[in-house]
Amino acid sequence: MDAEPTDESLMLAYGRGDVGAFETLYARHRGGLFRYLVRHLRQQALAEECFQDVWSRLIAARERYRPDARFTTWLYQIASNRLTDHWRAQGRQGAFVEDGAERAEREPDPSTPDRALSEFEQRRQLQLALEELPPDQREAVLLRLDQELGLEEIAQITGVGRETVKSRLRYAMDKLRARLGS
Amino acid sequence: MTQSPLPPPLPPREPLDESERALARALRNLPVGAPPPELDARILGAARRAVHLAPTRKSNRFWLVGFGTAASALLAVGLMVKTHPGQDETSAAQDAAYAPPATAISVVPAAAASAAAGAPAADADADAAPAPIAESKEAPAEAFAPSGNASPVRAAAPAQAQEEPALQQARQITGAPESAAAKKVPEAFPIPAQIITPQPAERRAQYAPAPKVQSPPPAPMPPVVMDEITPMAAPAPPPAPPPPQALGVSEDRKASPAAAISRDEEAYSDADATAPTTVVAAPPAAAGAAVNRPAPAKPGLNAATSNAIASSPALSGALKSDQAASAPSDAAAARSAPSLDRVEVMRSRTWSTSREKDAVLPAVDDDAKLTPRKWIDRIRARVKAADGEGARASLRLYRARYPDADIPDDLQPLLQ
Repeated sequence: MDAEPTDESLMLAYGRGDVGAFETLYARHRGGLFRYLVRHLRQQALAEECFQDVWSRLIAARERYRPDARFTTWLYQIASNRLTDHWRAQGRQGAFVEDGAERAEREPDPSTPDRALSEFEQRRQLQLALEELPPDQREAVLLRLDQELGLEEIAQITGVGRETVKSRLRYAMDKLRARLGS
Repeated sequence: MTQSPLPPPLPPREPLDESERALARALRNLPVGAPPPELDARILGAARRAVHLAPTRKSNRFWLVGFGTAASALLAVGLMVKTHPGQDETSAAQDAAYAPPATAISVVPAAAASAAAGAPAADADADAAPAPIAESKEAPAEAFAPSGNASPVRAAAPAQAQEEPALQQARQITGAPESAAAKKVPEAFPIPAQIITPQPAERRAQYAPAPKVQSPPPAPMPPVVMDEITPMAAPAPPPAPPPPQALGVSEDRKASPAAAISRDEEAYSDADATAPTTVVAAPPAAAGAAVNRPAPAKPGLNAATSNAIASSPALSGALKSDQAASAPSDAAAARSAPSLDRVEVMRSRTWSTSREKDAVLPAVDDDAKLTPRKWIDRIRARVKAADGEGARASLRLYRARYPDADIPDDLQPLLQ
């Protein structure tokens, strides 16, 4: 039984014209990337636009891809650059476009009422805690917790040193724990 | 799916610790949603289109590469063609330094030829073709045998050195094959020693004769004043130029000027060239009384052009027809003139050398516009054209412009 092809192999295969490899790759990373963008941008439509742009950039650069780093590092580096462009165009970085609490309340929740209340409160607190984080720390903690990337990869994606990422993560985690603990 | 070669091993990720894992679980529970199916379809469609467009782009790239290569080749050929005449002039000048003296083509009207009664080439058959002719005059090959400091090629092939340079140049232009008959032609024109004498090699190197084509002038000219060939190697040059020498062409040429031309052409084109053709020096008095219309040499016509005319049947035919147009006035005189041909020396070697140098080699400052390689070639051309000062100045300029460039060994003496 063949092992699952790695992301890097799939990307190389797509670079050679294998569309099926791209479909597999897309299926693997569409959810994670979309979450990452939505949690940064907090606007579904804006996230969709950036999501399409990120994949378009990846498609355009498929022949230049070299598996020197993980595919996820490359993918989220493209996404990070896209977000940077977005913030630069907006003239602000990671500013809230709407109230986080309102956003959390608006989200659908199919759970039972008791459990839903507890989980809703927990999610609301987490959402608020994330939104209160400075953008750099939020980006680092999202990449670490949601995408489970290593420090080195986060450092490559965000363009800072490993120790800087470590420091940002430490501060961010302390704030999240404090918020959720309270 | 194509299995691609495995990428190099990547460093392992640090696993999440317990607190991070709890936060990660909570984070994943946050409702985010997923990209809509339409967005998925758009992205997957773009991925397919990109792959399907790739071969077209590659073929376009190949087409562009091919077109670019062809354009570059065309440009290179164009530049070569553009620069070739200049190189030809240079090489012609270099060749001419070892070549026989000026080969002039002059039109000798029949009446003028008849006046040269003393010429032994006179013949009653001349009335067969009254038209004035353009005849080429060659110097004997012996007079221009390779000297001690001549080029090795010429020294190794004396027979080739005897060949008429005009014919060589014309062959270079027309690509006509070299014939053995053509090689015999110069030997059939013995020139008196007082006209052409062997020259020292260093003097001979200065001579760059350029054959000229002289078309018949529209109006009759006064009696010709012919340039003389200055005996270069004479130990004591005469204080005054020697009297003009008129040379008559006997045998074949006296039959008919036009026929003589035809025979010349045949001789140059592998025909049997065994017919005895000699050039005989006319007595000075007869030459002075000769009434002919030699047009002054036209500097605008370069050697290659004149030689091409001399050796190309088509061009010669055109020349003949042109001459035939002005022939009727001289027809009667030509009928009575037994000898129609006259070989005239139109200019001296010294004149030719200076003219060639001026015509071929531009100013030294212009050398700086050349590429380094062509510049070096130009300096060599100056050296071969005996333009030592120009070569030295050009080399100094070259060295100032390219201080790091190596100076060829053959040009090193110029720096000293």
